[in-house]
Amino acid sequence: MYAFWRRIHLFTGLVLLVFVLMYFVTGYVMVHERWFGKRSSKDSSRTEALDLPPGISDAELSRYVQATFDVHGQAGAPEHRKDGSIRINYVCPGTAVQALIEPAGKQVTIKTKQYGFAGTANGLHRLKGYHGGWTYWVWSLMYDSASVALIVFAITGVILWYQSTTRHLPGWLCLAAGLGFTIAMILYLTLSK
Amino acid sequence: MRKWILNLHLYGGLLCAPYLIIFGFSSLHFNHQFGFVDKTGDAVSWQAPLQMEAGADNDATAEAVRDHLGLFGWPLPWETKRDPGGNLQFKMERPGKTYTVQADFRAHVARVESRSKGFWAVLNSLHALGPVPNSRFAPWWSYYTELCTAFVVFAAASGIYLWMASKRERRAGMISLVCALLFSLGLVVYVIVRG
Repeated sequence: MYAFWRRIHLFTGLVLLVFVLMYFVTGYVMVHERWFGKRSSKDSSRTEALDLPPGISDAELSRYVQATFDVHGQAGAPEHRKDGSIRINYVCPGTAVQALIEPAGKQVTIKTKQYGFAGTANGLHRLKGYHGGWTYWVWSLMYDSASVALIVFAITGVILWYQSTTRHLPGWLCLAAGLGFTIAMILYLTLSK
Repeated sequence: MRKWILNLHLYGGLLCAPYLIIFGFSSLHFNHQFGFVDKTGDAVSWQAPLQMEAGADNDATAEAVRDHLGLFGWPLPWETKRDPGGNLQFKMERPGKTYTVQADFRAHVARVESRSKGFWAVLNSLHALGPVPNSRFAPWWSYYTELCTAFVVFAAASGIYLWMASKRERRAGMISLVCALLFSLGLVVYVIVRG
């Protein structure tokens, strides 16, 4: 059984190395945002004429705007506003685009915000959801795999430690320290008045 | 040298194992929004004496009331209002609980309604919990986060070193590593450049 758990631990690590590291490194950049520069953006805006096909659905509208005006990113659901305009947000790491289609549907204003390193790290860390095209499906699959991998590392790691060592006391102490602190924090946040 | 690295990999992993499980679970929740996480409990009401004067600034007064009541968390400025009599009502959030606080400065009493968010929401909030205003214990979690982040980077490097040092699964591991590196880095670059 030891060889089996070792292979699971090893190959999960080798296959998901980049994504697991990416989430921890980008998370570190987010937590220490001040060290890596503010998430200020370079903004630009353009207005274009629009010729929408009649009876276009929301999903088709998102794709139409992307294809016609060379907009990149994961599309959010079009938001139909009270004044009759439609707003669609497109997000990819380092870039946020907002397309605002005027009520008559004949014109669209496209506002683009481009972020630096910290903003790109933030975007990589937060990108999620099984929508917006095949790229984002693959991304979300890697995201889920990396998440599951963390749980797998922990469980298989504990099994491998227990099976590969004869003196268990130092390991029990380390495990108890991490587990004890975590349980204490959960109880503190749950039971404090 | 190899033994030292193996021991650090092993015992660092045991120390950080709970964090990895919490980080993995909360990441899955962010992607799938599990219904069982975002449930709030029943309201619990209580009141406490409030021996303090109202300040001119709503946000500062809300923070002072929070400290006076021995609570911790973030008063929500957009949910803070003052009635014509000068009493203050505000909502407050923290990992694990939400509060509605009515500070009656004339009667010198604070009425508090709190709702528990439950175990799973608390677990989820530990994803990257930093300092929480008026809490001495919560900031320790951010030190644990720093430790575990450093450990994960070390574990990746030391894991590759330990695998390379042993002669097992060399070929299959190398193929997996190279293919995964090319695919993952390619995907990250493609998403940034082409989205």
